[in-house]
Amino acid sequence: MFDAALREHLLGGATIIVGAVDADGNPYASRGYGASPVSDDIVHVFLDAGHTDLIGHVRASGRLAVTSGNVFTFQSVQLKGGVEALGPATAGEHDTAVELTRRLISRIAQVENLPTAMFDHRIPPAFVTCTIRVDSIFDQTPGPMAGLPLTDGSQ
Amino acid sequence: MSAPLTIDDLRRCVEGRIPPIIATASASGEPNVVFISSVNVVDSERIALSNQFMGKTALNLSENPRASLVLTDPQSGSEYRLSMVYERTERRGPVFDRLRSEVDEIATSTGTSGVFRLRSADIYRIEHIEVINDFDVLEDERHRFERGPLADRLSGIGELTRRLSRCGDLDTMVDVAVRGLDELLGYERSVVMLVDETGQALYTIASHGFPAEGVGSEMVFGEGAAGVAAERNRPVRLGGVHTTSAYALSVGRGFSDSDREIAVPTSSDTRSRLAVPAVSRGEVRGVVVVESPAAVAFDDSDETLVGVIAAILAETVALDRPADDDLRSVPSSPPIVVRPPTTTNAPSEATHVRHFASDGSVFLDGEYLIRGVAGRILWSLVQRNAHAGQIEFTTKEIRLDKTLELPGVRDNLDTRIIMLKRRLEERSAPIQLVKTGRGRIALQLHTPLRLEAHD
Repeated sequence: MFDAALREHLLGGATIIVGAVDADGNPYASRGYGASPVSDDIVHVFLDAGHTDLIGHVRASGRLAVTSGNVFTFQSVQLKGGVEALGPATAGEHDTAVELTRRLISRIAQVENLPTAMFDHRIPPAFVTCTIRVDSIFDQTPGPMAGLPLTDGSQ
Repeated sequence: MSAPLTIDDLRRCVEGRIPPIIATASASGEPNVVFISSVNVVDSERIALSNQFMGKTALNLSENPRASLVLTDPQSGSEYRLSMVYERTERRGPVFDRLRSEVDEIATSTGTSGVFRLRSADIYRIEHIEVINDFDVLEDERHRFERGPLADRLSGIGELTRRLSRCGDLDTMVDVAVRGLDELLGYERSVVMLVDETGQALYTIASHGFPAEGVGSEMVFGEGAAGVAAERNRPVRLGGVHTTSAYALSVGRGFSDSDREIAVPTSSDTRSRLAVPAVSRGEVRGVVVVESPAAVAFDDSDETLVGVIAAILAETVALDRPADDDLRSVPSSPPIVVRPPTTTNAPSEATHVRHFASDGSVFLDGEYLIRGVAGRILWSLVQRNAHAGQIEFTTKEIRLDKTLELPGVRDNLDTRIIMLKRRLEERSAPIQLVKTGRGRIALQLHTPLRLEAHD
């Protein structure tokens, strides 16, 4: 499911946005801090540990939509699946989240023509790791193909 | 306790165009999250979101009208979450037109006009706005943004108006305008574009603050901020054009992709752009564009200030246009014929002037100079010089030259001559044009010319 191009897209410094649903069925938009594939269909998505509402919604619903975007090209991919685990990031996961966020900051700084140090305070001090078993992947790049599946659980 | 936030408090987020995030959910509780390109304020309680490719979002809204939107302040990075309810979809009207302008600008900036089209404007009622995080405006942004208090700028517009009123011709005026926009009003980068003979395109007559002046560069109506402003006869204000410029550069598309095109002046770090139509007597005569490296650098006051200068320039362009009688009349006096100045340069140092009749383009020593009416004017002048030794010309005799293919009523000849003169100056070309009196220009040749005509 995670081919080389998709891994490169996710690990190269993609901006991560997430969508959850609260107990009343209301959608909830937020940001993530990196998505790292750990097997062919399992991905770790790192959330700000301070975003307790988001974490509560994910825990209650067991669902999280994750879209990653390339700030240079607007190429976007949405991952959907069930949450398998949710808990404080390990030291290794914390380092991965920080590294992925720094890669994103580097790209944003390049686009914005600003020094990366100006974004350092945007890195959360603590993360929660959301482990998702991905069952479908959609192309979200602006254009007529947006929303069409790249792959789903049957592939 | 502070008052609840309203959408009016988040204007910078709306204009900044850091892509907003929208989450929706199906009836069964499956979330969906995507970026959107444009947000527009409808009233104090409603916003409109651009709907281009959001098939899943639309499907979800039909099942569950609630949506969650994250907006980001481009100057501070502060983020806000809006809880909203979808109300309706509009496919025409002022809200749709405003969103379409913004989407068109993204599309033309990224070369995706064929696919990046607004399908509809989805209207949402805002129920609640929550602060996700609150950062100070970045110091770097603060320095980029400040241009002084409005009172000083009002004084500046007064002084610039006085300076413009003292100018004797449009050529001088456009120079004074772009320099004054910088010195007196803090607009470090500006472009003045005029409407061409077809009434469907703009060409640059002057610019200031860019790596290249870009005189003669062209933009069709509906293309880019200037083209959209001209086409719709209203200002276009963009607060976050940097992402689209980066996109265009990232896919290897420069700002000029032909050997017969001059790049429209801009900078790779431009983040805000304001294009104000220059209107006189109800007709769009051109567009004045100002740019800034700061995000969301312009507001209503900038539209007003730049609009004043645009109106003055438009009136001058309108006055410069000849009356119908002038267009039909024969020159009142014969042209002055003078032998070309002698030169010490050897013939081998002659400048090679090539002209292509198909599009009027002129190349000097293999380098593209200009095309269209301006190219034909130059070719006509150097030919007359070569055949009859003529170096001084009246605009009336130029206007009667059928090879220029001037339209009958709105020929723009005078502004085309000004543009040609400025283009030659910008290129430090061995051929220069100088004004020798009202309605008179002269060729200055710094080398002999070797002419070559092509179909």
